[in-house]
Amino acid sequence: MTQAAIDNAPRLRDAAYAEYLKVAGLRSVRCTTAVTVVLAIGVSILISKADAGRSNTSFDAVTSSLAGIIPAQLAIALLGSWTVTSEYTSGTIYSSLLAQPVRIRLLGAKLLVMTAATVVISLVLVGASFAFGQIALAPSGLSVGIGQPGVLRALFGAVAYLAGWGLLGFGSGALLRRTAPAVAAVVMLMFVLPVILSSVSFQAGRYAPSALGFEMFALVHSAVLPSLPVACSLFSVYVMAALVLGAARFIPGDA
Amino acid sequence: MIEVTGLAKRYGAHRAVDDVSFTVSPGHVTGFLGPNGAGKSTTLRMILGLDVPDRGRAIICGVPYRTLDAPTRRVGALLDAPAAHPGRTARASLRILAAAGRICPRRVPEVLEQTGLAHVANQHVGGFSTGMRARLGVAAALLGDPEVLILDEPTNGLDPEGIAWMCTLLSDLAAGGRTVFVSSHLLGELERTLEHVVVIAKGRIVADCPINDLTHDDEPEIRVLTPDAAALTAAVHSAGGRAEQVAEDEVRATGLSRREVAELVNTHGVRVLEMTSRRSSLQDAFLKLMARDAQHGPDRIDRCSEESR
Repeated sequence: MTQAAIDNAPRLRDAAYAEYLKVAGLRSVRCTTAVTVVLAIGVSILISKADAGRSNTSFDAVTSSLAGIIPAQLAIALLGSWTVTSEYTSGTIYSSLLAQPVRIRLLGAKLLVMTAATVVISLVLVGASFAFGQIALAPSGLSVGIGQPGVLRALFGAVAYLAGWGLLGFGSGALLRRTAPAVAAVVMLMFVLPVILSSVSFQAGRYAPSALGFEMFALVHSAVLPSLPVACSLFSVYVMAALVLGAARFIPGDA
Repeated sequence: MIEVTGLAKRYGAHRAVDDVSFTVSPGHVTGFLGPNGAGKSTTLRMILGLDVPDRGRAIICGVPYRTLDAPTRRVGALLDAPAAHPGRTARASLRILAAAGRICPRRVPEVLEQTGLAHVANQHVGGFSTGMRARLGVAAALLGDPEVLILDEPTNGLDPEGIAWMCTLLSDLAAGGRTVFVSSHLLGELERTLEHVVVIAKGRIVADCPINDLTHDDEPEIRVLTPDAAALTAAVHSAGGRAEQVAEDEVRATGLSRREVAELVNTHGVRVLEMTSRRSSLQDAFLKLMARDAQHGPDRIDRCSEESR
């Protein structure tokens, strides 16, 4: 054999590097990400400015400055599902599987890279939204500092919430393989499920993933929402369920 | 070396592949021939660990594909699905495959050169012609310098020049001791390259033999240009052959060997201007095989597959 075969067998690291090249190499992904981040920060500033003029007894300066999460969560969930569905729609999933036939390793590599990407995007997005939002709130004396109790926790809650949507999207992508059904599933979970649950009863509506998020990144605990530990655990259950279903479809059977 | 034993796969009620067994040896180009929908791609996908067979097993380089340590450095494959995302350049696509297979990145410019894509290496794959995509697929298969090559319809979308290039490439690869397994539904294109053929129809192997056995005709058609056409026709008939006088001075004889016809010519004093025998092409042999298969039902295995075992 020639020089090509001198190295060792490909490992998770190699699969992850290939996945990184796939995500970073497409201009469409880079553009979408940049637009999402800018748009979300803009929305956060806009809402914070509007809130600064209002007088509200139960005002939460963190939630106000993180309003950009609402549009961003959809974009991040779609990015998550795209990392799997793009391979099926373009047909490159087969060459990926030929290079890494241990499917759990390929899925793990995708998951690793996707999680790292969404965490970085979320950190930038949440950090900038908070900073600019507080600047907008400052003139009316409503702003909070990052050192104040609970603020950092709420910001990390926001990053976890956004990254969680990336994983929910990823799971639905692995489960459904095609972009349109995967997007539909994400939209159902994000926007339709809360409406249906709320129609059933107010109690049920509080357990939709997007309702749990409000607790995860709130500075002030809302009495109507489940407590923070309950919200975090339940949100993790949604995420785990999506990932398990996705893996159950991806790993066995025909590619 | 590829060894397939008792492979079977059904989709619902449709038996896509039904008890398929064959071996592909290194050193020559083996064709995997059959009409569209015969089960070629399904068989190849099972060999490559993409689809899971209902029964049977496929061994490649001594083990099932999925347990190969560095699969793309042992086996290169070209599938009907594209190997590259349209939004990426040829070079970027190959770099990804090199990273995933832990192949030295220096191989990327080498295979681009080898497949004649060096001048479009930085262009997006979305703008590629079908022929360029096929070349990129071959480049991807060659990337790991593998000892086994499995190519599904590699001549699809290639122009005559591209087909000639592909034939030379395949022959060279096989001559270097590699195992080369090429599927095709178009038979003429690869005919001169193939040394061995595995023929599949309706999910079953109907022939597995050297290509000469398939094209070697026990009944060649012998064409004789002669002023004594009537005499020759009568002589062939009396010798138990079939003859047809197609023109005033032309007879086409079948059912006799060339030697037998030559002896008839001699004993009957027939004057001969020209005598040629036409070897049947792979296309003819293939159509004959398919017709026989349809007549006798799928259970019939062609004689040459028994001989070659």
